[in-house]
Amino acid sequence: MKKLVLILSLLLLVSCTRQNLFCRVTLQVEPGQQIVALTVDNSLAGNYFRNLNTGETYEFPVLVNGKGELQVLKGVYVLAFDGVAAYADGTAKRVRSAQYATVLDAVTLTGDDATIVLKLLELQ
Amino acid sequence: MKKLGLILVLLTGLVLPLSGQVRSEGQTLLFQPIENRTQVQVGFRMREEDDASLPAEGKGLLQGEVRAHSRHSLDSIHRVEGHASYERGVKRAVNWNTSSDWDLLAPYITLDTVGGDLQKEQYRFAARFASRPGRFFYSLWADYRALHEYRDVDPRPRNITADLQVSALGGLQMGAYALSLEAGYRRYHQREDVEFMNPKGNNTSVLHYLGFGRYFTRFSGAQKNTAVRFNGNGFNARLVLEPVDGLGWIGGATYAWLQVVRHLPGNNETPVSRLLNQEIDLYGGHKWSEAYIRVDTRLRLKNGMEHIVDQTSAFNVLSGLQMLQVLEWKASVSGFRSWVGERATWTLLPRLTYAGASWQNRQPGAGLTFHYALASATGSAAFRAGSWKFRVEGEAGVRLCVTSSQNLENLSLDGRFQAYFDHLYGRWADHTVHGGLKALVGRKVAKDLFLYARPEVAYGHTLKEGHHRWDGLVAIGLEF
Repeated sequence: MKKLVLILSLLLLVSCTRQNLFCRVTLQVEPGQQIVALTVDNSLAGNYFRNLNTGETYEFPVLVNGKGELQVLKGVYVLAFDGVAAYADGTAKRVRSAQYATVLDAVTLTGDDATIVLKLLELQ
Repeated sequence: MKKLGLILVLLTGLVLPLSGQVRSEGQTLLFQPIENRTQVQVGFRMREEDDASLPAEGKGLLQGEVRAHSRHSLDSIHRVEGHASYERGVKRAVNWNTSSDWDLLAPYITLDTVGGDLQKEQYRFAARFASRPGRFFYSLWADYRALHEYRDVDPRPRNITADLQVSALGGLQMGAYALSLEAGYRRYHQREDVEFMNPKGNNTSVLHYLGFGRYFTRFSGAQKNTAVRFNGNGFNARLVLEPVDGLGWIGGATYAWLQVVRHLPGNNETPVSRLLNQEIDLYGGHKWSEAYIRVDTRLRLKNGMEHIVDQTSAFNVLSGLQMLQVLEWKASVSGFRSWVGERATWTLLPRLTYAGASWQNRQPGAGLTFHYALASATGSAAFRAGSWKFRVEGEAGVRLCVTSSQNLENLSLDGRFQAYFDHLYGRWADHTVHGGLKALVGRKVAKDLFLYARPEVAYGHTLKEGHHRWDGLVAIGLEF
């Protein structure tokens, strides 16, 4: 009887367990760059963090000290942006991230946590 | 012949009920009194709505149909039953859906925003063999349905559906009662191909829908990715307890499980989503010689999982997200009473139902919820005059939407989807009243040969928005 209760309890627990749909993503600038803040204008169509399959888009957070977090649905994503980076020496430059911009370069985010390292290209 | 069975036979006027209900109970076929009869019916059926309550099924139907049903006792222990039907018609103004069998597949269907009339052609064949060699009894059942739906203007879906169900039943007679267990298998397949004669100039796309305005944007379009395959496999089990002589306590439970996977043949047959349908039916009651009372409950659960497809041209499935849940349930109490007079047999069948439906999307969080209270009563009179048989049946009812709620704020719906959901919510959250009349006139034209006519009409009206719906059937048939 105890075994039966245990099995039924486990079955109930399993049936009630909800799958975690989200992946907590850390966006991290490639080491070696002294970026204090990186901001992205999310209203521009050329800046996107988009689910490859369902087309849902997310906004880029402000990257403070080269790091920022956002939560997205688990999936495969393409992302690219032009942003403004403020450096520790007080200068500001326009930078571009395009290494995950195309379908073939899409990033897979199917775990509960993931880190994406961004390679930035300084724009003139 | 048992009294209740006799009354039901008198009420139908004819031995076989050709109302469209195909599924029979193996146990009932064995233990109820039957006559060796065959019925063939030709009819014309229509449905007309001024505004579609469910755009996916259109706002009207014009359909011609032929149905045949036969039951025979082969000897004292073997019985057989067969059914065949053919329907040909057109569903009018089908919108937000290009797939067939919406009720089974929704919301993981294919849709477009233009729609149009949809031609329909359906065949169905079903048969049951039942045997009672002693205390032990058994039966075998097979049911095959083939559906072909298509449209001749853009967008042009052509859907070919095959739906096979087989089951085996074993049971034991224990005193005045018989207990049976039936187990079945279901195989479902739908081949859907949507074409555009003018793919560059079309004004819609084929969307592989995920519910709540979401769809696979990656696979949507008008030139590629417009072919879909729905593959389903399922099983069901049914436990039934019924009195052998038809009088006493009754009870039964059914569980059905069906998983339908949506594949895209243009993308390496990628399974992009799977929908799990589960149904539990429970009933219980008591039958007397001229009456019965019963309680019916039904729970239907749909769980939808959308797949994560990788970025390669192999379209590998990486994982799945349990995103959608649909819950529908209802509980009803019904009673039946008959009075056999000198000139006519009268019946009354009142029914009270409480029902609910909930469609929920986990992310973005969104939902639609409805609760309904329904009351209806059906009364009939059947009588004979010489070689003529007559039966008149009237029904009236009301459906009140007790509570309703919608939570669509998180969805960022575009204008067309917003209008679609506004329309659906308005229709489903409305109160409705309905009434109907059915008649059957039969005449014995030769020894053991009846000719009959069966006109039916029903009308429904929504109280808040004032929409209406007409249903009608005109049929003639032979029974021998």
